[in-house]
Amino acid sequence: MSSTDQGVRQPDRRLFLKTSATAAAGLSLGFYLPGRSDANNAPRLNAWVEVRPDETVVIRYARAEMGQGSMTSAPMLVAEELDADWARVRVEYATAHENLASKRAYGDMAAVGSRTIRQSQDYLRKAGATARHLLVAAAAQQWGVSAAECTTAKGRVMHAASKRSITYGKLAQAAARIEPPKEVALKDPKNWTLVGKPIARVDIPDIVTGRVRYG
Amino acid sequence: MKLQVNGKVRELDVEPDMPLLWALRDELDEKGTKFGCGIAQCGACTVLLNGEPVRSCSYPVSAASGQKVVTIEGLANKDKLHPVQQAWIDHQVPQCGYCQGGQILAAVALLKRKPKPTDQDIDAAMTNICRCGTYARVRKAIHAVAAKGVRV
Repeated sequence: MSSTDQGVRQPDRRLFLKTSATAAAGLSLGFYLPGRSDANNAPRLNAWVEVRPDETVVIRYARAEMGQGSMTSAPMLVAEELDADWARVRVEYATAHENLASKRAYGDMAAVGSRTIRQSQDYLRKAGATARHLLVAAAAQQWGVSAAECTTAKGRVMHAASKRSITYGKLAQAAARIEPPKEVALKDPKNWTLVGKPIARVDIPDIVTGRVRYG
Repeated sequence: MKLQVNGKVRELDVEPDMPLLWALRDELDEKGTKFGCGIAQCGACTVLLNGEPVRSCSYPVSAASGQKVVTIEGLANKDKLHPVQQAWIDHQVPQCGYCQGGQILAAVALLKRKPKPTDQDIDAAMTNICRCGTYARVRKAIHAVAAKGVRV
């Protein structure tokens, strides 16, 4: 198992959590939702996606990356349903601490038996789709239009009839205040634009510069 | 003793026979260089000493004192990756990545010595062991750097 630059990124995340707790930062779908008191109701929550005001979409990865590439492919499933701009996606490890704090929202966090994609694809896709739903709802509310008329692509919500468009980063704060849906529709695989394509592994730049940590 | 690592002179208070790898990782906290076999066979611990690859697990730190040590952390020019590192990304060479710092530094030394290596040259120079078996992509990436004709 490897992890990347923990020393550098963790303070950043702590700072983020602190600020999001005061509703000052972006959309953190999970157990740190600003203003939410049902943090113990883990099954309803989505711990995978954060949309930051600078348009960075942080997707958590909750298994081990050992060269099998699922640190890239599992977040692709989230990004696909979210209609995130892959160029703005940053993958971060979920920690065991977060898992315990959220009543194991991340499951057993094991990478074994080629099961990562097979076991997690449904809930990862739902996580992306739920986040997308909230962002669309926030845009629809802001524009006073029906969410059904809105479309999404590359980190934006669009409303064709009024030719309006807004980025996820600008919607994140409002989206975080909306109640997540219990059920959400997933894309038909024939409409996938990211999953199934050869995408460069997100961890290789850290490997070739000696930044990846093994342990 | 003084040790020049990635352009910076570092002060060390260690036994002269301490392996260079130990000094780098545990004394200087440069963790990019990896411990593999510990007997200079696998090459995971490769660093460049005055541009030549050495296996730091079996190299006394005192023998490196006063010379230029480059580790995988020091290969890029600030944010600009070394052409070999870039080729490693372009060709998605690593699998687990543990040996790749050593592979990259060995490839840099080879290309410096021989800018247009043949497959045989690569096989002879690249004796680093990769348990994932990335050898085919290592070769491809080295040829790609050579074809671009960039000075390494």
